[in-house]
Amino acid sequence: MFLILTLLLCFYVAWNIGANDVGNNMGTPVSAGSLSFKNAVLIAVIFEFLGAVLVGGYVVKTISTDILNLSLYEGDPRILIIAMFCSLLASGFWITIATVFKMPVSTTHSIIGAVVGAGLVTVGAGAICWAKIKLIAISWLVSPFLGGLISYIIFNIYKYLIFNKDDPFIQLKRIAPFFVFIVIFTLAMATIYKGLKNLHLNLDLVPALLISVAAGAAGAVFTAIRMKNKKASGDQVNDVEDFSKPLHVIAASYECFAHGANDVANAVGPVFGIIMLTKYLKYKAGSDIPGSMIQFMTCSGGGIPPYILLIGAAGIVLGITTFGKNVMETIGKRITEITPSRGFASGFATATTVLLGSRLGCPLSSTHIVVGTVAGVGIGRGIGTLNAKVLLSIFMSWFLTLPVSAGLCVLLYLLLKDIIIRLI
Amino acid sequence: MWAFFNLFYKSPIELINEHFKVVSEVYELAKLNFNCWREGKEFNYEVVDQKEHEADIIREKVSEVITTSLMSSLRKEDILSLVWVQDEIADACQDLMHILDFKRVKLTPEMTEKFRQIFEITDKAMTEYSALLNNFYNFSRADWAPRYKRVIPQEIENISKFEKDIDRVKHSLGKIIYNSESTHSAIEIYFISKMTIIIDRTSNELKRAAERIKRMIAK
Repeated sequence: MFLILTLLLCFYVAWNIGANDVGNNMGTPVSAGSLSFKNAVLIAVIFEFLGAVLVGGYVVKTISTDILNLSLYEGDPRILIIAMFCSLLASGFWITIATVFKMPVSTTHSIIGAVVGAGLVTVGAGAICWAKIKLIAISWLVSPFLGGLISYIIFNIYKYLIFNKDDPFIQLKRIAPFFVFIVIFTLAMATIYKGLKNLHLNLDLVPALLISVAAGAAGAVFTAIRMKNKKASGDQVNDVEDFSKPLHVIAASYECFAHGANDVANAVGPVFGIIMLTKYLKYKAGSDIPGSMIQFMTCSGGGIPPYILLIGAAGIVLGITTFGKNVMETIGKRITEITPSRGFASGFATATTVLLGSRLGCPLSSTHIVVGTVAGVGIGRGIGTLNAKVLLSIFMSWFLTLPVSAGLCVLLYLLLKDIIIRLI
Repeated sequence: MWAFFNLFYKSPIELINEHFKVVSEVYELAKLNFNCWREGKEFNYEVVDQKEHEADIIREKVSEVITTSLMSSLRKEDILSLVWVQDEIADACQDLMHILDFKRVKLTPEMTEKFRQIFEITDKAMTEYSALLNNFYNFSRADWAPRYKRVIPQEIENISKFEKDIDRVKHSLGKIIYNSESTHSAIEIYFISKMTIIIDRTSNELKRAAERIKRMIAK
């Protein structure tokens, strides 16, 4: 009964993530005119699902086992179960509230803040692995800048190699296959090199490189063939942007994949912890335990059960298809001076940064990285106006999430611990 | 999530383009109504008022975009001053309609010819400015790639030239007006003179707007 409740909660949080974050990835291609709403939802559904299921395992373990000092819960693992449950609930509530009040919050910050709150209310400051939190915090600070740097570089490559030339359309026909190669190669390498543990595929460098190069080359050849017979219409800028739309769509798909890989953990991480602890308690009751709780959680726990990732992925997909379309329709007309070419730079940079974080087991905020990458493109175009007031409100909403979700988790723990303990 | 994308709003230049399209419509309606007034026919100044109000709404949207966006490649002051200068053209057309509604005055054939010339050159200036805005927009869409700004200085020069031509015609019209005591009363002379000044505002504001764009490009 408790497990079913946990899985339903996982689905609810994943639904929130899908609804809240889909605009990050698909908002730019929809508003730039690269994709219709219907196709954007379809692509988001497919790639978020694939990212979550194929590469979603790395960050899950960070959230479930690396943030709290598990040894302090050896005495009574039920406390940790309640803590994880409340952190998931707090995170879900906060994201829902933020969505209703149209606040740009990070789902990642929300769950991390809630887990920290759970540790503080159950044991105290000693329960938190502050070294890990420091690393996570550093990654949060670094990732928007890294994303911004990558998008700035790609944007300038686009500008100097294409727009600045006398015949930008011909240049684009020459260069687009290379862009496609880079995107597909990066995506393939990030996914399959010592990855895909969920499918029991653990490829070494050489085979991963060969497969990635082959996939990238296939994409490049296909692009070159498709563009070969395309002719310019006369409006150079329009032509370049029109033929940048497929690149933008590819980058957005890559973004969705990366987002699924990184953010499914925000829903699945605590659930994985709860399920492993519940299993541990069952074995303990039967006097059948191999070692301590920590050993069980970190070593003998093995891989993430696929069904949990599937539930998380399904929740994200439902969030996209229900709420997400409304979000995209609302924001579709509001997006910046994002054209397909700039969207490609931003999308590729976001996806690469998020996927890098996923492979390193870092729970990154895709919301913040998108702000960084779009700002990187903006810096590339030159800054005539930087709105300090808006910048401050962004930072405020970023910093607000951590204490609010932590506080909410503390409150929920105090209110619900007696009820939940009876269900375990 | 909706609020997140407020940070990066629509291109202000695209909005300025939209604003000028509506301003052009205001000008065309004003010109049509002026001809009706001149021929002694009925005209409706309220239609011009409504169109001018539409232009005001877009102008406000530009302000909103600039003040709620995180960043823009152009200075906020430059964007706002450009849209306000454009809006002055719509305001001038609106003022013209209101003043025409106060009184009917019969124009001499020489005056009619001069007004026709002024409108003809103003039409050319409006078309040139529209092309300038379009090129400026393309320049922005191409991320300020230098090759896209080649035609812009020529267009700015053309608008300046049109403004000078209108000044010449206005000067000769002024001579005709102030020497028409035999055909018009003092109040009628004042009225026609006031009309001329308002019509002239259109070309002056077009030139000012072109100069704004020139400064933005230079930066």
